[in-house]
Amino acid sequence: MLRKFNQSRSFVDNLKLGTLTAFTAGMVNVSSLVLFFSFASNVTGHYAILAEEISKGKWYQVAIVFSWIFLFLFGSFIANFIVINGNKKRMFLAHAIPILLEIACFIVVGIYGHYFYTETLLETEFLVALLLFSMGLQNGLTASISNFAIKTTHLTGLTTDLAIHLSLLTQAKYRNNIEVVQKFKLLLSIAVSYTVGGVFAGSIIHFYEFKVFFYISIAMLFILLYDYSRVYIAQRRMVKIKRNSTFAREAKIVAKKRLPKIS
Amino acid sequence: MNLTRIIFTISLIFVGILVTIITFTTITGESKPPEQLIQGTWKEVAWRYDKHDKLDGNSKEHTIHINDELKENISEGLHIRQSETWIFKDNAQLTLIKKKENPISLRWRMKGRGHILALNYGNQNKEYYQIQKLTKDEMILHFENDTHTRGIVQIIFKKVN
Repeated sequence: MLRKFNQSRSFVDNLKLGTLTAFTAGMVNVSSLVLFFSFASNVTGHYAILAEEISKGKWYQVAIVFSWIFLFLFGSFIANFIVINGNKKRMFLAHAIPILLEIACFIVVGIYGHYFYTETLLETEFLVALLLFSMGLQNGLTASISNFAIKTTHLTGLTTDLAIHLSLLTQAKYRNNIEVVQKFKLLLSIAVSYTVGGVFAGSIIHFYEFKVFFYISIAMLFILLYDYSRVYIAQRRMVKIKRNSTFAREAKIVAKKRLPKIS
Repeated sequence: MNLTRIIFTISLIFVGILVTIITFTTITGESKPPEQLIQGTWKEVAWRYDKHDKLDGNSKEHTIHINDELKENISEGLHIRQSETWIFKDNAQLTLIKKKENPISLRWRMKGRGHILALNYGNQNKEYYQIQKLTKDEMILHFENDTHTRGIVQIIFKKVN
């Protein structure tokens, strides 16, 4: 999921990454809406609110919404910055750091919300800002490593693309095109996964409140550990193959030396 | 190429102006946070129906005034029932001075970007109102209702002190 980059990614890699991250994004967005009455990933909506507040001259609200949008932008910037500047030999690490930062944001929101939150507006604004930053990180990372094939929190664009692919599938020549079909499946999976995540969070948030962010962190950690296990297995296999090939080469040299010379 | 540069420059100017206004108003304290604006005593001056389904076949009015009888029906079961004066204190306490009943105390908090007013009566018994307008003199709260007809109820307040 996280260990491959751009063109080396398969459809299954993108499908796994897209559905799992969209599920958590849906959970985060609905949790934020229920707990703070503000979306954590709906940046299109925040732009509309920003414009509305500017037109009303409510500058305090303008500052808040502007900073939220900026933090989403900053999150995406950080994610892509880490990915493109990351060590090529340690690609998994470069892709894992934004996810780890995201998990850190969720844990901070969970701990603060569960133990210290007194529901002041300042606290609410700060926690929403943190969630927007984390969603920026996630969206930036998934878009960056999938060559812009996956945007887990960008449902406006996703729905548009889904509609376009659906209309393409009305023609037989596109139905036989594997790329179009796979893209359609990927988009549909992300949309469904995002909704299911939202429904799941909406169902449990009233019982668990801020603890939901701990569960989201566990889900994200699962993505990381699953992928790390794949990297680890692949590395072990590579070492084994290398060792075997070295051993075979050495054995060949030894055998060559021991061979009696025929004169 | 020139057009791109012009659009980019305009975008930069827009963001620059926005940041300047925000910084200026924040530093000078011109724009108060909604949590500070709401503190004080507010008197209910009117209840109205907005964006409603038709109350009767001929009604074409966009906004309909709600009389006392209808107000009683709509606010049935709400904490704010029969309230005339709302006193918001900085310790998150809200005192509702009522017409026929004893005053009650609730806990108030704001949510979102200060556009939601949450009233907590204890035991997770909460009510939420949308703050449609909040200035130093006037406040308008919205809540959805379908008791009499489906629509948005507006409560209009004037600041007393």
